[in-house]
Amino acid sequence: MSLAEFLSRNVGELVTLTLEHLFLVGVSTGIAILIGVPLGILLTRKPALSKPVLGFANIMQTAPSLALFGFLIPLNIYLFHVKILGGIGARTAIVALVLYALLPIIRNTFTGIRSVDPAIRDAGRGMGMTDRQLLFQVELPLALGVIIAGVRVATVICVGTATIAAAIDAGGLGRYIFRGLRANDNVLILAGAVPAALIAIAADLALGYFERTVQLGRRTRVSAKKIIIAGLAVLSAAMVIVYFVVGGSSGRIAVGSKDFTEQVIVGEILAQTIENKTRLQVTRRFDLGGILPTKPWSPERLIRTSNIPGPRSWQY
Amino acid sequence: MSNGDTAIEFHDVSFTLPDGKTLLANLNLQVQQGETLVLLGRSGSGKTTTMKLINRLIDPTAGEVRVEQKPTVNWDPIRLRRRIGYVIQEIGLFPHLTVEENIGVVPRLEGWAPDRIRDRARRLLSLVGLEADRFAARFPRELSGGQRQRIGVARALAADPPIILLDEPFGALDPITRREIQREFKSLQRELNKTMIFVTHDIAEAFVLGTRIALLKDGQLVLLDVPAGLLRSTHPEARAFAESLYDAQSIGSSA
Repeated sequence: MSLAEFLSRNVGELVTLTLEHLFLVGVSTGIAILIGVPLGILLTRKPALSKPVLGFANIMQTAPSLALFGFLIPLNIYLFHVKILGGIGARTAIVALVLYALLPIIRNTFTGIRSVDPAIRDAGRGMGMTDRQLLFQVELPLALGVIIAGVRVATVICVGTATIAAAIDAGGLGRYIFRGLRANDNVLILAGAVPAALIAIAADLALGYFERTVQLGRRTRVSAKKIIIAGLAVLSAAMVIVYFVVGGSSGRIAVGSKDFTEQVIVGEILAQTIENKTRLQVTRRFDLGGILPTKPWSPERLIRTSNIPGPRSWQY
Repeated sequence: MSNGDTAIEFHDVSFTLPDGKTLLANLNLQVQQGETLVLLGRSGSGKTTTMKLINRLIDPTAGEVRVEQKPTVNWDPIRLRRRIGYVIQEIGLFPHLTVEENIGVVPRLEGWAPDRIRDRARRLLSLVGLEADRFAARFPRELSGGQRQRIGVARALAADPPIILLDEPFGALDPITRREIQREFKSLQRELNKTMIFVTHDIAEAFVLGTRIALLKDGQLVLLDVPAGLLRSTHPEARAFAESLYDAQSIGSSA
């Protein structure tokens, strides 16, 4: 079966996976902007912080993505009874993607503002601008092109890394890639890889165009920039809310398995047993990669425990 | 305030960097309302430091600077700076704003109505000899050096401040444009009757524009006199500057 044939037969699934992928990238980049830009601005005001903060972001960037996903799963962190970190699924994937996207955004915000000509800053201060007026009327507009370049790099990194997020049940086009790897099916691998590459190229071109339109002295209206920035902020805030509402469900339990037949059967048995013996609802996630942390845990004991504290996995 | 009042005073003002380097030592100086005082000196003689002490971009490490009889350290820096126009070399225009927006920066900070800002910007454009219709919507990079400099002057005048600081405003211009804009500036001076402090290292410029000249060397005031007094002075630094003026003339006449 050719790639075109496969895609045309599975349009519905392709669209779903693409939307999942865009959701992961959009939410992660949005949160990274909301954290990274203010943090970058803070660093220009408190340069002593720049070394430790940029150093941390640098280390996050160098951590292998699969290891970072695996490292985040056993964590179990709550904020006001809402789980904010840990477990399998989109939430953990988004946390990891945000960590990856942070560095280019913080770094470009910091260097973009720092590279504003000191004479221009002096002129603004000499004309009686307050620090805030200088930031919003001079420094940020002049640094905007560099900041968007950072967002562009972050977005492209996220599109690529999000394919790996399928290994921890975050969905996205990585599902096709992992399925293809297990089934040794090149068409399936390409069905995930080609659309992901196209998304990366499209995002790069679109943000590149945006970057050029805000270059110095272009005839873009300042109000248009404000609308875009405000829109982005609202969108990101909405995404954060969606993220916690979707990810914060309680009274449910997820049963995950690798995507080989035996594991799926064992997973289904476990899921049905839990449903029969407890009042917990079970979400079945039978399409995962093989990286769940391996802690010995007997199924009998898992079933007897009504209040299960964290993610566990059962190896046989 | 009428002419003859003191607009700016320096009382035993020193400015020393944290590393102990003294940029300005024991400066005593009074600038009268309506006069143009030229600060003349070589690079690093303390001219720009003196300027920045007036609009509180820096505070003196000793002594006191008074603007309109009030010590600068008692002024709110933002209020003080909005009463003082500031022109620096051409890079000081905001590259992301049009000519009209650049001129309107301080009026906008002061909360003027948009219509009033527009009118003011167009009036100032014609005052500095540029057609409002042709130039208002341009960006700084679309202008020549001389045009940018005129915009810089117009911007400093925008909110009608009583004091204007000009830090080598014509330094980056070619000699011909420079003489041209100096002549225009001279007539503007007469028209506006503002207190101006003008920094330059060009003695010809100092002669054309200055009511008085303050000659600085290594952070010390060595001479404060009317232009003709500088030519009569026997101080070596004054002689050096006076000779550079004669040299230029003799080279010009022999060519």
